[in-house]
Amino acid sequence: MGKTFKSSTSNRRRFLKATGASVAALTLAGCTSDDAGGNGGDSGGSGGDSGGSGGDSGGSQGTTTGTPQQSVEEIIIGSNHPLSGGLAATGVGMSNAIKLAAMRKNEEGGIQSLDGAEVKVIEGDNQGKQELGGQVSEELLSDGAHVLTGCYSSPVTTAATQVAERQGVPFVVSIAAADNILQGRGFNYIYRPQPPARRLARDYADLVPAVIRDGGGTLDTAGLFYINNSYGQAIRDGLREFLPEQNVEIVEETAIEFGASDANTQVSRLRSADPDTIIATTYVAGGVLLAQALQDQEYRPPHLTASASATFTDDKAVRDIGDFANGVMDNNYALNPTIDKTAEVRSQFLDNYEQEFSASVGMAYTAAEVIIQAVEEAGSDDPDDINEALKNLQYDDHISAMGTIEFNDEGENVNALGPVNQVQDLTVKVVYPEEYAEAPPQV
Amino acid sequence: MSTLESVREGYRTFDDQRYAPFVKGVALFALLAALPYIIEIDVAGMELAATLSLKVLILTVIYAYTAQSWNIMSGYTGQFSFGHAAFFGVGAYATQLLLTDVGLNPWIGMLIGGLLAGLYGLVIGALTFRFNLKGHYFALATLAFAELLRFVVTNMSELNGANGYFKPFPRDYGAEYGLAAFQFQTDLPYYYIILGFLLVVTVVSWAIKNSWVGLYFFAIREDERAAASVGVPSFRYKLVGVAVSAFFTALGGAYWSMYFNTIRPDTVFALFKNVEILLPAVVGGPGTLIGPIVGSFIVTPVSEVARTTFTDINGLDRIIYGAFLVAIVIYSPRGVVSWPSRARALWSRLKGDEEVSE
Amino acid sequence: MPTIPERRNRMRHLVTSVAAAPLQGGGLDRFIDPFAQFLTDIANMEPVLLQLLAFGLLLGGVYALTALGLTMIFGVMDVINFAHGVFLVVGMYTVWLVSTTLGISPFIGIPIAAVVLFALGIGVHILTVEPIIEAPQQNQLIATLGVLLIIQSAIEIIFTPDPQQVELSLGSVQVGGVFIPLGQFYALLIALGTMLGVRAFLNRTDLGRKIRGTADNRDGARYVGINVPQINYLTFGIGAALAGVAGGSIALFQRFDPFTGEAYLINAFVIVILGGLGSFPGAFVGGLIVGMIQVFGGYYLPGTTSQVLIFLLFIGTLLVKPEGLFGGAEA
Repeated sequence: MGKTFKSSTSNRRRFLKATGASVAALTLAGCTSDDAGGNGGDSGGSGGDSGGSGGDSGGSQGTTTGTPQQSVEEIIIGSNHPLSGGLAATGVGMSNAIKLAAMRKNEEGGIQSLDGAEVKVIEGDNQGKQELGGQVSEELLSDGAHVLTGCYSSPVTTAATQVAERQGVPFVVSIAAADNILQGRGFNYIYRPQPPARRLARDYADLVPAVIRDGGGTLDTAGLFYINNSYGQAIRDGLREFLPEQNVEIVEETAIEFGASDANTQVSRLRSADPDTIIATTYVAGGVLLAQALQDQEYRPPHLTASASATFTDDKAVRDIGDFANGVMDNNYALNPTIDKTAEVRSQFLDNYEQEFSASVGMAYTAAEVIIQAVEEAGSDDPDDINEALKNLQYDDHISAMGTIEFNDEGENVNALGPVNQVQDLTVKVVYPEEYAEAPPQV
Repeated sequence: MSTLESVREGYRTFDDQRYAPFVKGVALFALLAALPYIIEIDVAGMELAATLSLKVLILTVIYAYTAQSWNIMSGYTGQFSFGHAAFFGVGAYATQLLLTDVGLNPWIGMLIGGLLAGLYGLVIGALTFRFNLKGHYFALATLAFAELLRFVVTNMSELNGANGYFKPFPRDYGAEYGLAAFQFQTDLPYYYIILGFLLVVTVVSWAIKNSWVGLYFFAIREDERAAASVGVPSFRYKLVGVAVSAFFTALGGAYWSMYFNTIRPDTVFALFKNVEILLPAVVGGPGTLIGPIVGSFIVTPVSEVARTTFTDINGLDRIIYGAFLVAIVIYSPRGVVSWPSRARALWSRLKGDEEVSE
Repeated sequence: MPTIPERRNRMRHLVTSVAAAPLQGGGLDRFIDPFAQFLTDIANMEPVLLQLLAFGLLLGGVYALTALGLTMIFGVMDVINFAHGVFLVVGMYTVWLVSTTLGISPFIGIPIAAVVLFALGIGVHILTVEPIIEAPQQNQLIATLGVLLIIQSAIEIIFTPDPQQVELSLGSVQVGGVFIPLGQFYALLIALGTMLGVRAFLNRTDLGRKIRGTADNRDGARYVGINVPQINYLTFGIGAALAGVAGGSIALFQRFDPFTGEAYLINAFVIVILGGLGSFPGAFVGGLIVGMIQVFGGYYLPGTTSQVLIFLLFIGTLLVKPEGLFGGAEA
């Protein structure tokens, strides 16, 4: 029943827009039949019920009908991100990246398989609150979104994807690191191009020690410095699992609380353990505090590294830290610097939004491109057709530093990768694996 | 004028009847039960569902429920708790932990969670009441007990640390979607479950209020020393208040964990969870039966309407909402439920003036 | 689906493991081992102890500074000011704004922040706190919470949610093998100076004595002819100005965004209670205690277990000596 509820709600709202100018009596009459149509066609937000709505309003709404025969004028992507509140600094950038992807597609002439249908992005602000994740998804759907993306925060994403799955609308996760958002859920409509937490930790263990050892360095011991929330603990647990396989022993672990004012104690602790490398897993602020405390205590391990840290993949943070950031290696999802498109997108983004095109923002851009590509291949605005296209997608022309994006049964990208970046001359560069490297690693 | 008078007279007669509260309660809950359908009704092309979806209704009733639970302790006995997130979180954690690790049905897990929370409430109460904490000190002590749990859970790998729990599927504990599994594939059943919770806690609240327990509670709230001097065992009754309140709050946490699928220490024990729990009661009218419900049906939809209306500037809705909170506590310090009586007082004053002028 | 005996077994296992967790294995050892390590380090006179002591002192100084304004408002007016954290943030943005746009040294920005916050505090007081000063505490709590939302979102809208930082790298000095980060060191000096300054104001000036009188006994103050409403808004203004100084000092060494204040707010509450309502030396000692526990706890204990100790201590203090360590002493 709830499904019927929601779909009929969404009809009505679209219907309202269409008939805004009509006479009140007519509207009332129209609504009664719309109710019937909506409730009758319990088809999960796609074909049947929107057909009913189209009929009521005189067939004027090409965009919401699910039948591919009719001409589709626009494809609506619903962007469900934190646009205000504590996560907004990144959330706004991610949502902008999605708008940029749509803009670029429209400049190329729109969706070709749909006769140049425009890609439109509608945004919803979930404020980083779990309670709002599902709510915003529903609002976006009732405003006509054909496919959804979001949400940065993992609990919010959990709530948001639940709604998409129930209503049978594809949801491509822009960023959400927690593994169990998809794994073991048996979802049918949810996809994640990004490497989740455990995968990122595994990539660290697979890649970073190899890079350092190849460069003649020694890496036998590591000290972890992580933010004490779910993301930090998830990466920590992954590193605990995978580092010993590469003969790296974790000799020290120290945590920082969200919003801490310094990292002095943590650095004292790492300093007395004196590992071959410190592995930082923090948001931007935590990494800046780490760098500051290391400098204040005149300490730097032979190799300063990070796993999935936001700090050392963010150009602004790196500039703020200054020369000390040079040489830091961080494995995180990244943009592919070896193709021209990346630079083009980056400069367009900077021109349009005056924000950093950080790794997170780039990942959201890729998620939007995945959606657009799927729509292109589906040649339809029907959510189930788009979903089918996502299932079979093999997408190469993206700007993330990873292989062909294709999804397994759980919706995870089988070729997701967190390559190794290194700060060189105060810019973040991909250095390994070689196929994505713009500069050789400096050990 | 005369029809209005007669209607008012009729209402007053009705109000005096012993069955009046019962009828009012039935009418209220019938209205709440019909709400998911009412919001879908179209009036001149406008419908409530455009701003007030079923999800918002569920959230509203959740907060009405937790506020009602908070009210039993803080509204009735006057012991202002600023730490009910502790009980909320214990309920959520107990349910999910027992469900994930033991495969225990969430309905049973929920009750165990309620008992644990009640126990924690007794510990908090025994300590704070024994040491006679009052006012701000009591409020901050309860907050500390809640924050304490947040950090304990975050640092305990036995409880999955900061990663918390992810609700298993019904098949994982040998059940199918439905009432028995406490899991549904649509929102509507969830609405009626939380409405049922609200009904239960409201009836319990009513029963307390209209029994000697309530009498003791109010005596403690008004003047504890005087109450003690006439033989009210205030320590014991304050403990009863905490325990009952904690128990029901924990059930709210359990429900939250089932409906929102995943819990973490920084969501269910969040600092602002404490505020969210007490806010509807304070806005509606602490210490009244209807206040928490009315308060939640003001606070949550206002926040939602602000959020969906002021979308051009991110964050503007929070300014509006903040201003709304300030205004409401300034202009009705005893809660929204005091409005009718204030209006009546105003009305009779106006009428009085009229008679004088005649 | 687990069978009944299997379920029972799992239950038994769960109960024993959870119940036993504090007693064995990962449980009590988690506290005993670090403590043993701590004692060993003391016995060996490990040089790191001196370093930790310095860090604890510096962090404590910062925390004390953030608590001064709160303890004043709490002590004099008996109001829990939830907006205190966001007052700190306004101070940070003021210093950042004057130093980036006007090119003024951030150090001069700090007194400017105090003035800005004094005005803001009086405004907030007149609009929101004054009308309900006699209302139940939950109303004040919600009113100041509303103020928090308003100011926080206003900052977010005006300056974007992106983090900002004052262009200033102060670095550190090394004294006898102990590193002293200068940013925090200056904050500590400012904390001490402010504390002494406000204390002198409260003790030496007529107005200050009136404020103290009101703090001691509001009704009594009214009887002896003190204009209590006036004292109230002055107190709120001064409390906010102290938050401005604190926020401005934090901006010297920490990046900030509109939400930075939240982490400091709870610590400030703990400190105010530990030290005693309205007591400035108390706030200082409370700040040091919290700072020391965080530093030594952070060094010896896993994760952020030190926060658990802080709240246990907080609860203990509330129970045993709710008036705080310096409660009852002069402000």
